[in-house]
Amino acid sequence: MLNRPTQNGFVPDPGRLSGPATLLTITGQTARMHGRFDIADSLHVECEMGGELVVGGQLVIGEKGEVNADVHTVDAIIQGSYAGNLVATGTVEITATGRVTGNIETDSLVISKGGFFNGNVLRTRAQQAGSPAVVDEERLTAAL
Amino acid sequence: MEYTQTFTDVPRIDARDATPLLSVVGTSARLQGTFEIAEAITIECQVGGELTVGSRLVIGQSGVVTADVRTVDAVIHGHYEGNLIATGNVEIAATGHVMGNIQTDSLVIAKGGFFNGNVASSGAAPAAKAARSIHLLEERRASVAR
Repeated sequence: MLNRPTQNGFVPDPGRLSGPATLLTITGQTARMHGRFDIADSLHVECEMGGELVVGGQLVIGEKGEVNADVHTVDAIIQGSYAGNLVATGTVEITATGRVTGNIETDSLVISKGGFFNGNVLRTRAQQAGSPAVVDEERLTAAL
Repeated sequence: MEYTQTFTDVPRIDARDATPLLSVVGTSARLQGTFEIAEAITIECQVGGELTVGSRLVIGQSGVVTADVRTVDAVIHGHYEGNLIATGNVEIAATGHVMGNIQTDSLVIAKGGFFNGNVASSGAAPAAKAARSIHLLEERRASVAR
């Protein structure tokens, strides 16, 4: 009877158990780091971070996150503040609480209403098509 | 009643803090630089540089840390190399592998744990320590391998 399966959420979630391993966790009130970070998969930042970031999967800058770094990533979701040069081979999303200053190189950029962006956007696809002079570059400032 | 509410508020704040400031997931990660952490950090990847931890450093079994560290407590299940200054306790677990210098008042090495380096006790008052001659300094060389 003790092994009777429970249906109230106490059964361990198999999806969570088979998920990717947590490589680094920082807890507490504040944290500040500066340097070079090479991350094969994904990263969630809720603290201050500076330097150079290479991410093989998804970078999430949380609402409390403050990232001042040059970033190479696949996908980026920015809910906090970011300053620097961002190169993303996938999609970039600036949410309603996101504040971004700098240059973004990507094919897919979404800025939600309320999101702030000041800087240049460079499309990667255009680079392959022609000379650098024809690069589809636009300056935009979105603050709603 | 008011006091009860005050006490129940404390864990609630802690629960909010339990949301990680930084979490890295995946198969591998290498971080190099300076880290200033107000509270705790758990490492299961490669970290190098300089680490200042306000409370507790945990190096997991797959963690490889090559850094100068200042912390309160340290628990080492993985590899550590460098100079470690801990104002609290240092524990090298059975799977731990440490090379370097440790300055602490409390060092525990579990059976199977490896340590090669110097241990300096910071227990004596700095003034008293300075008055003693060098050979009386509470410093010893230890090498434990099982």
